[in-house]
Formats: sequence, structure tokens, C-alpha cells
Amino acid sequence: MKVEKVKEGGIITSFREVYEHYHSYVRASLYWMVGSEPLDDLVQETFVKVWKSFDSFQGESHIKTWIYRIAINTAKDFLKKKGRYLSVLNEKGFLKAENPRDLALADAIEKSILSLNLKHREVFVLYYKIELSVEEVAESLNLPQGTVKSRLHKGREIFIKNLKKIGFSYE
Amino acid sequence: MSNQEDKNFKEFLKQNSKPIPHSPEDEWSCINQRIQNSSVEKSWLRALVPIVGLLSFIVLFTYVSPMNSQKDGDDNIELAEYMWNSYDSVEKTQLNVDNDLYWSLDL
Repeated sequence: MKVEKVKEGGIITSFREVYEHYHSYVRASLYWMVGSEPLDDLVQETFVKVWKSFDSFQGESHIKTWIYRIAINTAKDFLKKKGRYLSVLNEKGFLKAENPRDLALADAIEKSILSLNLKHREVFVLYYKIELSVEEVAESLNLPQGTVKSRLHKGREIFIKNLKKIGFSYE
Repeated sequence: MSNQEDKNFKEFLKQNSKPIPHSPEDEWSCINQRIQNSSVEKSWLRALVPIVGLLSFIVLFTYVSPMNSQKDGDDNIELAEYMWNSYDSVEKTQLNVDNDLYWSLDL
């Protein structure tokens, strides 16, 4: 494979370095958007898209927010194609919790996030789970900062309600 | 929400969320494979463009053009028939027209 170069803050970086640096974040954002079932495939698809778009990436936004935009759009495309906005998570085996209540809470958190509608979920995931700033979320999703803040507020409210419905509370 | 509340909420999520499933070990090579496959597809598509163009050109000149010529021929026959019939009808109605005027029409 040829080694393509991209600019990151004026520094030339190889695609491999971009992958090494961002793949776990891309994986996390996709996981919280779609669940574990299609995760491996979507991570690969995201990086193939990143590769293909190198030429069109002009460095007008930070490479981090650019990659998250591609990842979130990949997740949204997948969900639209599947005609579902909720991922049913069947995979239970990977978490070994000592306390069953911890496992139940972790499940509840996952379900509550995946129950958010897409516009709330994408800001919620990037801000609370990936811990981007409001500015970075706005840049990634091409939204005004005010919209990001209001969606975060609403998303958090709905998340807490969802959590309550499953039997957990957040004070 | 204050910054502190925000921080607490993030911490709550961090502490209580499931860990993300690990990447498969061969993820990088899978990505490489997919990139190579898509490049192959792309080169096939690139190769197809001139072939499709050439085929369109051939179809256009061996099939569509004669059809148009045929159509033009048919149109000409129709026009001639129409003119002939029109001439007849003019001739039939010319009885009421002044002879000089009629011949000056040079039909």
C-alpha cells in the first residue's frame, strides 16, 4: 500500500499514524452510536473513507473533528440503511463485573444512550463519551455551538429519564 | 448545568460504562485490503469509461443515425403528399378566384 501523507497542524503525518492515533476514539464513538454488533466493519469502513477523502481534506478543520465527522456519518448511514435507530445489544460476554448491579447499570447506560434519537445521540456521544469540547462537537457535526448546547441539555435529560425507566437514577 | 455538574456526569458515565470491545488484531491489514479492493474497483470503472463511450458512439452512428435519416425521409414524403393535396384543394377552390390572381400565386 502506498504511504499517503496528510497534514495535521502543519505536520505531515502518514495514514498509518492517523490510524494509530485515532482508531480507538473512532471505535468508541461508533460503539456508542451503533452498539457492538457492526463495530469492526464500521471502524474499517470509516478508515477506508478517511483514506479516500485525503485528497479533499484541505486542513480547514482539525483532522480530529474531520475524522469524527466521517465516523458519525458512517454510523448514521448504517442506521438509516438498517432502518433502525436503536441497536439491540446481544453481546454480554465481554464485561466481567464482580457486582451484578454494576453490570446491570452498565447495560442500562448503554441502552439509555442507544435509545436517544440520532441528533441527541451524536452530540451526547462526542461530548460526554469522547470528551470533545462543545466547539469541537460543533465543528465535527457542522452545527452551531448553540444548537450543540441545547441538544446536549435535552439529550442529557432524556438519557436520565431513560435510565430511570430501566430502574436506575442519576442525581 | 455547571462545569462541576458536567464533570460529575462525565465521571459517572466513565465509571459505570462498559469497556469498548477491543479491536481485532488484523484490523489494520483488513483496512489495507479494503482500500486495495476499492482501488481495483475504481481502476475497473476507469477502464470502463472509454469502452462505454466507444460503444455509445458506435450505437449512435450505426443505429440511431439511419433511423433519423429514415424518419427524415418519411417526413419529406408526408410533406410532399400534403403539398400535393393542398395544391388540389387550392385548384378546386380557385374557381371563385380571379384567374390573374390565381396564376400570380405561382402554385
